[in-house]
Amino acid sequence: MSGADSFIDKLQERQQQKGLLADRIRTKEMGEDVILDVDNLRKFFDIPVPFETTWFMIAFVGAIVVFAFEQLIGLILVGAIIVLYFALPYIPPFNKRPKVAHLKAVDGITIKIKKGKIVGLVGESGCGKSTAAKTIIRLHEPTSGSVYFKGIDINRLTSDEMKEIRRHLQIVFQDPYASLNPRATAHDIIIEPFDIHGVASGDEASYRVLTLLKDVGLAPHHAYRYPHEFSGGQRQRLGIARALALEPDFIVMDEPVSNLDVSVRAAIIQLILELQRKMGLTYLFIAHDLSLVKILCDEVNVMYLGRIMEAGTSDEIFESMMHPYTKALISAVPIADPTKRSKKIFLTGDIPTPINPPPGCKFQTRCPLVSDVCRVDEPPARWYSAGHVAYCHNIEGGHENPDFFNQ
Amino acid sequence: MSRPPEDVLLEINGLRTYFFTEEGVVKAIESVDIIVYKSETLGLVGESGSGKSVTALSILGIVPDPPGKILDGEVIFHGQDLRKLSDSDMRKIRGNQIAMIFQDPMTSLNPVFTVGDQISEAIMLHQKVTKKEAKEKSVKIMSLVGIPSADERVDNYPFEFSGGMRQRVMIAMALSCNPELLIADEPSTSLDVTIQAQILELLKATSEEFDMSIILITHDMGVIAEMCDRVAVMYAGFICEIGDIMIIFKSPYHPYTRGLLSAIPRPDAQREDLQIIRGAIPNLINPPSACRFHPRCDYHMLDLCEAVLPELLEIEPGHSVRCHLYTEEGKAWMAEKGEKRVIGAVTRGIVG
Repeated sequence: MSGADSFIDKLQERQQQKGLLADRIRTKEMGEDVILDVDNLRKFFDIPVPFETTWFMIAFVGAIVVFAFEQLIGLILVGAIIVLYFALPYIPPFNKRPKVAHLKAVDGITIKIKKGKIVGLVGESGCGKSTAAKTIIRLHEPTSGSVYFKGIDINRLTSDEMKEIRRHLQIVFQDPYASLNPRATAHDIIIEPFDIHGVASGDEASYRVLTLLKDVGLAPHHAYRYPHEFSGGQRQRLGIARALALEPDFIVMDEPVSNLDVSVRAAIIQLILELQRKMGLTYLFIAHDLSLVKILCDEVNVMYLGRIMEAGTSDEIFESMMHPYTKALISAVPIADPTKRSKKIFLTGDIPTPINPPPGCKFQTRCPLVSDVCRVDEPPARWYSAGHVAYCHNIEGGHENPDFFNQ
Repeated sequence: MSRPPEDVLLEINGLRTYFFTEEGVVKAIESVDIIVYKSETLGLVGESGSGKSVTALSILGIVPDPPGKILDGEVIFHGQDLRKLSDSDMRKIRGNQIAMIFQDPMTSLNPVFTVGDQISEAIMLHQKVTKKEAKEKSVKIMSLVGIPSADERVDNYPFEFSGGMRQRVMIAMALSCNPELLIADEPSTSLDVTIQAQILELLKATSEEFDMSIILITHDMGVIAEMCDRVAVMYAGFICEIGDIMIIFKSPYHPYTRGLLSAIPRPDAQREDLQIIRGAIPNLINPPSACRFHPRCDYHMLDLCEAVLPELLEIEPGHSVRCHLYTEEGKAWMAEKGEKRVIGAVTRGIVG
């Protein structure tokens, strides 16, 4: 055993005793105070240090230093580029980059929905009907504006408070198949709201599921079927049952019958009406089938490009509409009576993109009555009865103040 | 209102088309008899799965085979049976004398060719013209169908067009060879009402201008009422009723036609007026026997409707109905059994 080995053994022993990771040791050797580390150790015990190793180490450390220095320059360069990239758009003359575009899907709408009424929201595809409805029940957060439900501003509520309110705000979607979990049975789908809100559990919950199935015209044996085993109409009934589970006050019907066949459609409409009568529900009914809206809704809002164009009772909108867009839209609806082939109003022109709509009236590009003022100013509200309002520069009559009709 | 035989453009007799699938034989069309007169618009209406589109494909001989097969019947166009024609003869007629437009224009236009190329292709296939002439003709026909600045748009690709404009391109393509018959399969279903009105108006105007007959397939009774001269109502592979539009809308004879008309909001309807047709359209692999409407019918005559298929009976000139309410057997049955007839219907109450 060489001196070096015994020394290293001693070192390890010391480490274990003290629990330290010592790599040096101070010792008295021939009257001299010597600090031993591994390199000194080698000298002390006359072990030759390999020459190559030393130079290799120097070269290696040198390379690292040079590399690090280069990296530093690189880092500074990259940092500068990043800073410039973000800063340049704000430094003239480079600040002409367009800002993030905002698609104004719903652009300032006001709707009042009275308890127990069916309120229609109609318009062409892409006009913002569904976005508006989803914002109303806070599935989207509005950019600005507020939604009051029973006098409560729901956009100010915390998520816990919102959960409580959400029981009363439900939605039925257009495509029943897409909105039902394909791996859950009808029973699971309807019982889920009970679980989430802790309303009922166990046998009571199951009993209520069966009652709900009965309410929407399904049979108890349907409870353990999966969505794909139902027909289109039955699936929509299931969607309605889920919406009804928590006994809501207000249901958004987002085109609930658009995907259904004519005969099934009538049955679902009958169901929706029957439930409303029985449970005193309030609906916001979104549709593009205007002949259906006409007979179904108490009040109708006509939307175009994120704005309300005209609103009023069903009779006012369908019999004495004022706005040129409403007139064109309603005249375009095919009437199921060959003796009443109507004269159509054809809209020409393109629908402007909602990302950068023109100033003034949104309808100006297709309006048959368009004049210069429409391209500059937004049309004012003109009231034709206490509930009938239209936004247009170029229509006659009406009053600027709805209070005129209340006197 | 029956027209003389020389006015007949297309006559379909006893057409039967089945699909032989792994699940079983889908009896999509059992018996279709239709006459299309020159320069008229015939509506073909029914719920989804009633066989409207398969009828259209059968006329053109483009039923996907396998699994589809036309088993029986004749399709007589200009006095010749299209089913007996060779493939190359049929190809001369298809797209040339009989053209078709589909519900979804995006899936029937090729996305990697300009619309001009696609319209020219149809023209060059059927007419002896140079490529340049075909393109000029495409521009002309595109402006005819109301595509603004057609000379620029001819070089655009389908995705550069809006839905309504795409449908106009499809119509331009169909009209490019001056067809005598246009089969329009739900041409406006995927469009907004304002655009739908424009497309229907275009179809109406071009049919008058080109003296062209149209078979308009739709499920929308409103569209039928606006567009058609006559209407054929289909249910589960059968023609239930066919006749002049004024007669059918005023006094429908077949219980299914009545149901269809009362299930849609009519102009002066109230909420309560919407009626329901009970049940759902049957599975055509195993359809109800005889009259396929009997399980949903309010006038179901027990042991007659499910046993004997009623004839398509002409009750007045140009108005035919396939229902036992009007057949001799049916009348005899009713005289014998009277009011018992609705019992079956009530006990079979199913929710749709």
